[in-house]
Amino acid sequence: MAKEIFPTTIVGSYSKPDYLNDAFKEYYAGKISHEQLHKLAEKAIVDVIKDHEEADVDIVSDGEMRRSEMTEFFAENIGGFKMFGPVRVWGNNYYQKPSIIEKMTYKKPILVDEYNYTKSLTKKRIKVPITGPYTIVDWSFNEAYRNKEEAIYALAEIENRELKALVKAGVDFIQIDEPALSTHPEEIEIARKAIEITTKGIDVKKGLHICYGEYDKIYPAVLDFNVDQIDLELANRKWDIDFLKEHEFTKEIGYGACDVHNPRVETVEEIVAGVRKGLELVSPEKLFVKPDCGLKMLPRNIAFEKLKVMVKAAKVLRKEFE
Amino acid sequence: MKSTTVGLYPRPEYLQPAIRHFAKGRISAEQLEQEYRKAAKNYIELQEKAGIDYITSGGFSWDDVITPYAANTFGFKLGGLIRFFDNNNYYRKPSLTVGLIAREWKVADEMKKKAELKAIVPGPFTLAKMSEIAPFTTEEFVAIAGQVLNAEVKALYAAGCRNFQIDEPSLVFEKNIPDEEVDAASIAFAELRKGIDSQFCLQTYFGGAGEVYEKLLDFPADLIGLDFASVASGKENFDLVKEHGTGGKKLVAGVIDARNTKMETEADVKKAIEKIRSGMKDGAVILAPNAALEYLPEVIAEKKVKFLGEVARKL
Ligand SMILES: [Zn+2]
Repeated sequence: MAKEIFPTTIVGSYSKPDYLNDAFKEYYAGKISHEQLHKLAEKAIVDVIKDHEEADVDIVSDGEMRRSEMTEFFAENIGGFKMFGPVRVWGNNYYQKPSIIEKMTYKKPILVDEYNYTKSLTKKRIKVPITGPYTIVDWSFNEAYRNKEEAIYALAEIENRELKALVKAGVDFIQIDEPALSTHPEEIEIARKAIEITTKGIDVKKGLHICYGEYDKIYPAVLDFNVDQIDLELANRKWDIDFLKEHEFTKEIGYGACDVHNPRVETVEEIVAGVRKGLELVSPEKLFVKPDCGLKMLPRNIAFEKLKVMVKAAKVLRKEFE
Repeated sequence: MKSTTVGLYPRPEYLQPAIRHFAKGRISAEQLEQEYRKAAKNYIELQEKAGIDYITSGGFSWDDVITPYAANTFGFKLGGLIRFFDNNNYYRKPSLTVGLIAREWKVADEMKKKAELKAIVPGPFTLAKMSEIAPFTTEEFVAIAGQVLNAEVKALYAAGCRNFQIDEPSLVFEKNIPDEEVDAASIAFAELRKGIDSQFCLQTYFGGAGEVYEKLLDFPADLIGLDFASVASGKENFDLVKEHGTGGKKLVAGVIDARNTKMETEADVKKAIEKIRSGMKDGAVILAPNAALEYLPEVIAEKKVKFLGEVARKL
């Protein structure tokens, strides 16, 4: 099979429709059952896949419609966590910060149903994102382990079991999300070990998504992580990738091609020019074109427009390089 | 043993939507103010019931301890300076909004019954480090801030306040601070309290005092607040107190962890206090959380306040 060049994909999340946001609220207030919530999430997934297919993205996801939030969801599905209520992130913004109150346990596969359902809806290749052990622990209170490191490794073992379950179900592309990583560059070695544990015996394609980044502090160290692809936010730094050129980029790159914090839809030309810079790092089949991060912060129509333009840009480049 | 809280308290859940509604114009400033007062009243009652000696107002209208003050008094915008004035003017004009903390303190003071209400004032050095201060150097800005804050402290004194907590987390959070900057912070501290006969605490959190500890002991403060609860900072500060004492300063001992939902036991606290006391030749110890309780879920913060008062009384 000829290698695809400039494959297009997504990072994961997509904005939830109002009825699903309401359903989550009602579910947490005890007004609807988990099954009712699930039904509505599945309805929302159909629309996400439709958007992805219409935009002609090559590797799709379900938009994380079933997940309440990227830490909370896993804390709800892994044993040992408890939620005591919202805490402030900054200003008047809050999130449910889970507490690890006892040793964590793997109860049952968390994402396999999600994958199977997505597979039933599309012929396209699917990527399954999972929030990494470093980030989940960093964003939780740790009551049960002697220190952060110990908690991270324990969670990495659990996530390894989850990845094995995913591979068994047929998943061939897993993305580990570690947005907390770049906020503590001094702990990169702990994160590296955690990813090594998480990915042990996992032979499918593995990506590592990092954002909020002072990337220069964790690069080139991330090249030592046991993954095939490093997925970065690059459009919002105007594709200033000079810092990446200082070392040979030894992996595939998930190349941030549109800004998820800015509602302005990029032009095809802009993205083509931005992505072209990436060819100074890797060859076209190793350059995956995707938005900077999950699209959940953007209104649906804008997210959809961004995807369409991004795919068009990739097609322009393919023509040029085929 | 006496006890104190050290900073902002989690906003009650009803307050979060109220603030959003105000931003969208759905409720008036007066209505929001009522909600703030209700929250302050409840928090003050909670602390007094728990038997806390030196209480705080909770700062429910503040998003954090530093930035609102920086924005309102110094004319900073998050991430940059609003150039209301030219640089020379800037030096003299900030006193326009002095009294911001004093007004809030006064309101809260009228709600309390027997405990003593502390005022929390952002420290000059931390204000400098949390703001974009160009064209000033840290030393220049810190000197200006000391003077401006002296006006704030005077307004607080006039309102009846006799107990001041000056928040300087950046002194321990930042690493490798040049000596000249620490010295400037110390001089600014003196400037800030000039002419005011009250108790002043140099409050640190979010880090061990490390190499600046001995210099902190030279600050013209009556008390020093240190974190003994975080894994790394705690260990470092135990060792520092053991080695250098507290230079005759009273110690606000942050033994209750404000950054973990795990509840301490009485035995944990006792052990920590004994360890601290063994290193101090003189000076009293006041039991406290190691930082503001604002980053905990409200139910846990409440439990910690109750526990703080209870365990302090037993010690
Ligand atoms: Zn991201």
